[in-house]
Amino acid sequence: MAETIRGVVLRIERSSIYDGDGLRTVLFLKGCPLRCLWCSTPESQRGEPERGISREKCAACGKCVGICPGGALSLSGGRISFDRSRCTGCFECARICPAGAVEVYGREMSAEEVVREISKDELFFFHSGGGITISGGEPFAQPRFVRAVLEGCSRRGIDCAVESSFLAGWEDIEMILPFVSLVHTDIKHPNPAKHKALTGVENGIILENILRADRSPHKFGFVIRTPLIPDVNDSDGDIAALAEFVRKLKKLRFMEFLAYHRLGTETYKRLDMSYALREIETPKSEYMERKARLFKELTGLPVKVNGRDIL
Amino acid sequence: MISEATIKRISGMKKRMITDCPTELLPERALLVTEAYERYAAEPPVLKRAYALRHILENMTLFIDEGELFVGHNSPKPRSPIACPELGARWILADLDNFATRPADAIGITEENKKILRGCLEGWQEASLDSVTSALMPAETKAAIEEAMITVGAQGTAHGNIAVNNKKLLEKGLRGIINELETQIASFKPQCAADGGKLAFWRAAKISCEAVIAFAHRYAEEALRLASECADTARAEELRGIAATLKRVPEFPASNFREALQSVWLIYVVTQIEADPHAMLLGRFDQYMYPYYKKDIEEGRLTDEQTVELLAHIWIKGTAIIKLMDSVTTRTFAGFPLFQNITLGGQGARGEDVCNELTRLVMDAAAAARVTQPSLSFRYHNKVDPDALLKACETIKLGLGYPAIMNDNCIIPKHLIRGATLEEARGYCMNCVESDIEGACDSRSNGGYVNLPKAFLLALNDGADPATGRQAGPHTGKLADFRSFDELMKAFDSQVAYFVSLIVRAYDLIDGAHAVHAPEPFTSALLDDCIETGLTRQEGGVRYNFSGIFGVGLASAADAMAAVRKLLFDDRSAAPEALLAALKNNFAGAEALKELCAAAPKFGNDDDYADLLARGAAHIFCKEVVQYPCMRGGFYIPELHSVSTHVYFGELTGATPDGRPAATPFSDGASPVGGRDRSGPTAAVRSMSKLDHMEVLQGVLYNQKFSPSVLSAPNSAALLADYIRAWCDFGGHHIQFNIVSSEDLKEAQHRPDDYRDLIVRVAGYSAYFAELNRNTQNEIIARTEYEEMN
Repeated sequence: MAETIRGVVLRIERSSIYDGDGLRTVLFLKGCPLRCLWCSTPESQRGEPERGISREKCAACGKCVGICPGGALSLSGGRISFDRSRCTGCFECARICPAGAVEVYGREMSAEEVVREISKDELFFFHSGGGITISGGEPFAQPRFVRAVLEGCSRRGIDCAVESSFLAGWEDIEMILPFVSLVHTDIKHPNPAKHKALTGVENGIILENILRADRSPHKFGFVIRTPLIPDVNDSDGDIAALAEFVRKLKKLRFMEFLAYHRLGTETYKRLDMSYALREIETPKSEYMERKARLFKELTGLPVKVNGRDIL
Repeated sequence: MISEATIKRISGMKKRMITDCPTELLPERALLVTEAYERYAAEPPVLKRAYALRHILENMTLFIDEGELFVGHNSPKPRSPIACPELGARWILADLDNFATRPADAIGITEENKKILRGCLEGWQEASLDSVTSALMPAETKAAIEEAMITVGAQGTAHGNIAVNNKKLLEKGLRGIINELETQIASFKPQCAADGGKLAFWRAAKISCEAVIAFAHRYAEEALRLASECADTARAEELRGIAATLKRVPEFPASNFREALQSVWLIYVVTQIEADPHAMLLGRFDQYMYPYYKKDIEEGRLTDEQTVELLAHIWIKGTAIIKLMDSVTTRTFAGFPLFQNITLGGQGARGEDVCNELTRLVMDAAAAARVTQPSLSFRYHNKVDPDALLKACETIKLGLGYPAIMNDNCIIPKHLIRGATLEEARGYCMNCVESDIEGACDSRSNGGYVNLPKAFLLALNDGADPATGRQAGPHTGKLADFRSFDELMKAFDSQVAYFVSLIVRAYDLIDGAHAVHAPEPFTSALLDDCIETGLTRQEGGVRYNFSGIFGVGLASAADAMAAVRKLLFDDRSAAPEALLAALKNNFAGAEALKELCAAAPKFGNDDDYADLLARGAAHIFCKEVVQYPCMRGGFYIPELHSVSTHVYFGELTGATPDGRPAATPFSDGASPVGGRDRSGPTAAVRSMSKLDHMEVLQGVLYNQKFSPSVLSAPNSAALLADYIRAWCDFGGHHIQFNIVSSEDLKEAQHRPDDYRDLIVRVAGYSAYFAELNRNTQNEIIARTEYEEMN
């Protein structure tokens, strides 16, 4: 039964200590309805498996051009060009590349395969109070698959958490909530218009879903995470509006601010995508602390910065 | 906990005795030994050695640092190794001009001292241990050493791998041991001709013990002399205290913590003077010292702060002692390792946890000293005191590389297999990753090292080295003729069997030469059963005896096996001739094949394909080793640990089918090849746990490298403890952690070649740091610095 439910997985990362309690295995899924300008995992945005290419490694030997059944690849001016619309997703190019320059992002897996993979670290979960965290892309975009994985994990006694944008239909969200002890979500901007400018979508449904989940009878805790991006979503007014929303949440465990970083930029290059926030520097720790303290003063709620408590 | 005064005293000592102290080889001990051997030429070797020890202790220059609270050093000054012409006159003479100039572990020597030493050593050329062992060495063994297939240990040097019975020393004093010797001598009734040697040993041991007592008194006089010249009244008082302590110990039982510490240290120093061994262990220090600590604390004579100050001396004084090693050994044992080791915690006689206040204070002292030796081993078991485990994890986070975690659940049964009683097994203490029973086990983990990846190369090529074509091993079949991968593994088995047998043959002869020419009467007197049996430890007088053989480069060998299996037998994507040609040419012109090799499964990613090959290769090695009895009774035991022999063997081995280029290092210990375990630490742990740690009777080394980001969260010590619990549940023998700092990362930017295997987590993916562009590297350094500050 669970065997037949398949999903598109970006990757499975073991030994994470930042995505919930204890040592965790994070299941990253493909497909996200948002297009946040600062996204550090652009390879998770599209729903289907896709290829990326490291231009530094590519020797432009042309071997992939010859093998591509859809004719998506061509060699001109010492550079491989890629026509996404003609890609059949066979990824023969990755197998044949002698330089190892082609990377495949995403693969189909059955829920049972995933659970088997997750179970490998059961002993670590047992000792550390860890478990699985399903992240994205957007987990609620593959609700049946996610539910099957969580069912399988719960049956084994493995603690379950999800990280979601909450941009999803309520029925899909409700399928998942009974299985999780912790839900991470990030409120990227409190203002609908700005949210749309930054992520491509308005935040109305997101905020409504968060409140509805908060009032649901399911017993999970909320962690609200917001990446602070200088001059984008970090004004004192932004923080105040955020505080006003977050203080309404009954299931809140804590609020966490994450420092903006640019470590995903290499992946943008591999995907031939452009990165809009090129000029912004990673904020300093004093800055992060100041913003977090402001939030704390406004709400009195527990606040963390990059995993550390602000007192 | 650590006071300003302690920090000042310790950092002053560290500066004078280590960081600002150049290494220098002095001829004093060599000259004194030579005089004694001439004077006592008619005596049997065991008595010659006792008289030589006495002569050295009566005449050597004494060293006392201005900050020391207890004393004892093996030579006239810190970081000045001693030369033992009776053991290694040939190699020392041959190496004399290299000491100061060699790339690793250089040791200064003046031209004048070189001349003096040369004159002295020339007289020993036909009389030293290494002249004897060199004549004994079988031709096949020599050839295999030349081919970098094996090394054979202890040809011209002593080795420790023992912990003397410090508990007994502290309870009885040397006087008590002398009484035991006198009783044996008085009641001696020889039963056969060989018994004559017993009397010589007992007499030699007694002479040595008396000489050590006199040595302590000499040190006491020296302390009093310094006190009389000292303007600083507080320091003069300290020196008089030191003198008073030395009048009592090690002759008599220790009556307080300071006496116990002085007694243990002076005995340690004398065992270094007697034969300059490595791996003289300090054993279960927090156990045998505890009664003295507790009594002093209860009676108000000692504070924890003073205890830490005293204990920190052990690290400064320990690191100030270095051993003279030959230039090849400095490549296989780089960094002046002396393998002093202190074992903490673990189980008591009834299986109870025995962590105590001293367990914690020892870790505080090591953290205060921040030097390399002795290293610490913390014993884990299911009933471990959680606070002590947490303390160990907090100490690990400091990035000193210790304490290493040893697993009682794995190691205690090994000692039962090795023949110990349950109580003895629970009393084990550590070498490096090898365990011994305190005072009762001579495990000689230096029989020899086997180059496992090269044994696999020979198996691919009918016993000939693919790079040179030289026939280095037995004929075991041509690659193209093997119908299955299993047949290839049988060939590997035969190669390993051959090289193990060469080590055994040579090492038994060397072991015999030690028994005849290099007995250690003093050290033997402090080991259980030597006095009762009348045999030195070299003659097998210790209760349990073993000889250790090391398998080197296990993961490199397993990765090579996985690539060959995949390319030649499963996928048939490469031809045998093409592979052998590529190996011969170091993959020149065979880049596509190299890429295929590199893409094959690798050990350390929780992938059975490679992991089970590692287990199979380890089993082949282990089963060969354990079948041989050793010269002193007992048997040979296997170990998967390489010190730095994996670098040495790697440099002398051609390209391997895992895609590793010629002349580059192999994997370390039993750990995955650096940087190839890319599926996270828990996956690497699972891979490691697929090896059968129990059958590797001597020990398995597992090094994990963490970037500080992994250990920077507030609860990270607790998480590390959980992680260790899981590793031990999996049955692991040992694990230790290296923490990569932002400083290391900056260093890696400057010297990328030295940090090729450094992996960092970027964003959702891991990458070799050296391969990242400068901006990303800077970003990661900034993130690491941020985490270190918090």
